[in-house]
Amino acid sequence: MSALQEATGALPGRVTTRSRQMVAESQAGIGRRVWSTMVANPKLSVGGAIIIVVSVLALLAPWITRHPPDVQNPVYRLATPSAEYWLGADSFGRDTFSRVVYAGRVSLSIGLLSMALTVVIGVLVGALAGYYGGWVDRVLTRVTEIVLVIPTFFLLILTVATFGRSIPLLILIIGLTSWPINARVVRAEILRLRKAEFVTASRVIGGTDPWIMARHLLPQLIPIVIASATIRVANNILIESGLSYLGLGVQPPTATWGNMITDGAGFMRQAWWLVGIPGAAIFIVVLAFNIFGEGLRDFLDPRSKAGAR
Amino acid sequence: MKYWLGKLLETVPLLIGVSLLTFAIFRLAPGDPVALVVDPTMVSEEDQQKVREDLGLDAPLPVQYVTMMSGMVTGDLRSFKSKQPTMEVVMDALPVTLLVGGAGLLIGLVVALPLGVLAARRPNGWVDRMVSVSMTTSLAVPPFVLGLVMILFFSERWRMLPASGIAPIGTIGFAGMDSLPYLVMPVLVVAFGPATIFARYLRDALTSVLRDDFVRTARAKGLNEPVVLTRHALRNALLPVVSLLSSLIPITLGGSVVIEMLFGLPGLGRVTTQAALSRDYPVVMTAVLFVATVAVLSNLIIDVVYGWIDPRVRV
Repeated sequence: MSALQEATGALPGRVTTRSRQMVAESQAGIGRRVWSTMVANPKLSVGGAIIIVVSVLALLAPWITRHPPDVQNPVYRLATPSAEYWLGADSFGRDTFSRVVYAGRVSLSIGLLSMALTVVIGVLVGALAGYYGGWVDRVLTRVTEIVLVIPTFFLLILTVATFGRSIPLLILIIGLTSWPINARVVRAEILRLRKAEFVTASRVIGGTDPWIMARHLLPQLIPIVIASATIRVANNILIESGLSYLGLGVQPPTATWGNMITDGAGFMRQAWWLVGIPGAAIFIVVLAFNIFGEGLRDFLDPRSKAGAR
Repeated sequence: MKYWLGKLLETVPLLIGVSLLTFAIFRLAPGDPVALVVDPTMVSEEDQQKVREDLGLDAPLPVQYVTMMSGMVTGDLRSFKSKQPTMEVVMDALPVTLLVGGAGLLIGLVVALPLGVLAARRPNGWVDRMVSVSMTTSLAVPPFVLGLVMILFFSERWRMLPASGIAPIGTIGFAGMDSLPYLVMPVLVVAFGPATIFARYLRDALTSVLRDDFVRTARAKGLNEPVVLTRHALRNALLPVVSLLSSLIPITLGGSVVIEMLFGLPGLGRVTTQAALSRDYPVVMTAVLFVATVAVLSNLIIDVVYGWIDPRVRV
């Protein structure tokens, strides 16, 4: 034992220097790889940059706005943009800039949290259906088809009419209705992987179903799930804005981009920016998530890009 | 024949599933379901009991389900506001929704066809780039924002088109040619998204078909390019577009809600939203079931068309 230690005595030191070197090298490698990826894949970097900027603005809302979003100042009713009200004021004299930034908090959190729910349900349903096949697959596929075939807005109206309107409920409802496409993607992928040799190998050495699923199959899905989840955020933000526009989503006075547009629509002729600014906010954020998702897909699966080109 | 029959039979469990889901959502509501329909603080206990009986809410669940479903068909299930049978309310609203949605999808396809072909003929050319970019961009434009911008210019500024309604004041309901100007903007808003998506799909399908051997053979035979394109390539490239249609139909029907509210069209979406806002639950439920049935049936038609274009799927 000690002889062995002595014999290899010099090794640990060498290993450490060597491993440090390797770490340093790979860190430089990662840095360079990230940089070259960003240059080679502008969708990823532009989309990501916009998402970061918008998120930071939303997070810093109390510190970068001059007026609280709900405070009414009738003197500034429908005011044009000025030093005091950067993006003007709405029909109640509320600061448009402040409202659009605070609304970003609401829209982004609804988009992200409902996406999380979508992904959990989608992965669960898709993985179970794809892995077990047979009647499990038949039942789950039918359920997926049922939710998919009911036009989303009608299903949402029904659930909102039943369960009422609050932000947590909205997240729940959007999450519960928007998973079918993710489930389909996951199911197809699991069906493809299920017959792979490494799965058979794991089963031969005694791997149980949950083990194979958690250890071998689900990790392979991470790229495809992340890419579709990003696009899902964009879709869910659009759904939320539509519902809020209809008066079935987030209720005033809490600002969201959707209900700001409803408020502003009546004053469009005098103050187009009351529609234009929240409209642009939705457009920019949704576009950013979409192109980031596309970029991610190209990056994770170069074949998809080759196929599309 | 057996293929079509099988397809038809497949839709039955789907429709039953849809109706069970809508019923389940209704019954999952916390508290007394009567509270969904009437405000318990405003309505006497007797009236609440009457509502309960009308809806058959004191019966066992399976009986309730059957009562409700048959009530929709027989007209026993009535709107709480207008007392009209819910099926009538829904049927009155349906034509506008189908007209606007159908015309929108059709125009989307018509616009997309030449764009997709041009893009595929010159991959990476300017048309191709434009098709790619416009799909990503159009997916980020909420239809109600597009509609409001159109109203601002075409109605408010230039006074070219009416902003709201389906017919001139004084006429009730759809008024033939007089209604046409009222439909221009809604149809264009519906067509906007599908046009870019169709174009992109067609382009992708066509580029890969154009690389196929049979296209080379056709060209080698000396057929001229238009014939190769229409007879050989396009016929094959249209398949993914047709199957795309089956996922766009529920989306378009769902989108009708926002568009009808925006343009004040008396369609299914507006009727449902207003019913939901005024707690007219039977109408909401009937409308949801009905619109899902329309989606299922149109998908059935698409399956039939698909089998007709590509006989291979029938086997």
